[in-house]
Amino acid sequence: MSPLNYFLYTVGPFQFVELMYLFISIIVLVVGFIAFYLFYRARRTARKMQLRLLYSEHISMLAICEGEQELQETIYDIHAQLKQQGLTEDEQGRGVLIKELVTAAKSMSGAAKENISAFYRAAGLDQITLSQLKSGAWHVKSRSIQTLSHLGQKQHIAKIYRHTNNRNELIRSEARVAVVKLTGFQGLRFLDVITYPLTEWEQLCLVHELSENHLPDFKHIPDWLHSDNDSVVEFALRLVESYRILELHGDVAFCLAHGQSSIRKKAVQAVRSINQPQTAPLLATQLLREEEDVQLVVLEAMGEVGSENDLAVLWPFLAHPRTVFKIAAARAIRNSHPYGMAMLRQRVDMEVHPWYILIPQLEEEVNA
Amino acid sequence: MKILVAEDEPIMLKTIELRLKKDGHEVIVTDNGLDAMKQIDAELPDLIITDIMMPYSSGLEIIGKVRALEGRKIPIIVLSAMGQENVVLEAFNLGADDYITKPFSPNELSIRVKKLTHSA
Repeated sequence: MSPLNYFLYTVGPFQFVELMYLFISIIVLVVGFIAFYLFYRARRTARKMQLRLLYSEHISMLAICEGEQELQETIYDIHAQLKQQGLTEDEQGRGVLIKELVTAAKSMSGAAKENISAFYRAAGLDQITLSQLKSGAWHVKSRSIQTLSHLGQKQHIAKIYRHTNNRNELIRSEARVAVVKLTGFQGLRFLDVITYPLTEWEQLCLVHELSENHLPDFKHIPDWLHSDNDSVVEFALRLVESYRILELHGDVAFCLAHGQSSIRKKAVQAVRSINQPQTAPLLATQLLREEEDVQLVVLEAMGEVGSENDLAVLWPFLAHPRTVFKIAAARAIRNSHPYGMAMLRQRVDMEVHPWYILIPQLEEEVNA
Repeated sequence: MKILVAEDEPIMLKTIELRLKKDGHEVIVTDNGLDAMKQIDAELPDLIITDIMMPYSSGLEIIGKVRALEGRKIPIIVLSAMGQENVVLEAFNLGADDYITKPFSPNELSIRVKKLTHSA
């Protein structure tokens, strides 16, 4: 007997009606709950929109304030109005206000941004964000770090700083970018102590933050170039390359002997960017002792900084089985000697693949 | 001077409006490109400040339309986000007179408006 038949035989007509009532009641309850939830959400969204409009007016007033007195008067007026409307104690209201302040701070610069930050502090909203920083939820913590950094809350840097080596990747990433956003090169002191690696994305974000109105300070870079944390060494090399720090040629050369091939590749790129008389012989020596994937980077670097004294190490690469090495070596030879192109034509068999394609291409590059 | 501001971010729109009113200008605001097109026909502004990315009709379309109008040349300032250099170049090709990159200072915008209105 199937379960359905068993059910129909064992349940009598009265019990069946009772069960129907039970199902109908459950359906009515569920529909009622959905309707209530939708109504509640619509009301909340409508209130949020209303609050956003109200706050945009206040924030705009703050943004256009000129001078300390006007700013203080405006802050006082806005605070009084918010208090009168009961919005200073309203959790949703405060949340929307902080979000709007962050949006405004992200879109504005100069005095307007400073005025917005001053209001955030004066209204005690930073204390709410700091309490969120203690939350156990990673997304709340990350958002609070973002809020503090966008609103320029330098006075709370110590609290952000302690998260730069947080075990959660997203929290530590936000914290690292935030301390640099707030204090520039000074904020990079976390590189002295971090044990977790810096991701490629973090490195790009940090370089971007540093490029925005922060005065360069290179005194700690030599220490980072000798760090035990490979990602710190990589980032320090990136800084040398970005800022062309010629004084660090010796320290960068030290990284050419690093155990990690990815670091050696970065070191080659960095040393190329701070080219000095000793760079070409250094790269020539490196070329001879490197593994294939780094050799290619060295050959490309020699194409820019190579000299005629290094031709001897380049010739064998014209016979390399991989075309990409042939091209890199040929380009390096062409650029390293005034008669590099003529020497190449003499050295290779123009009838053989790939030279009958490569040589005209290299000549065309010179003419272009 | 009558200035039309087209920007979809409410805070930015309000800030620009208040800043320009503080400078003594008459300001017409709109938060979308379509309405901006209508306002240009109806209000004949002396200067236009427009965001590039807007709903319904972009800032570039507004520039195209204004430059296609015959008669006086209305100065246009473009608001763009960082990293939109290609779009800014396109805006200049279409006939924009100046641009300002977000994040920006309302005071800087005010000075640029003054400069453009004096040279117009």
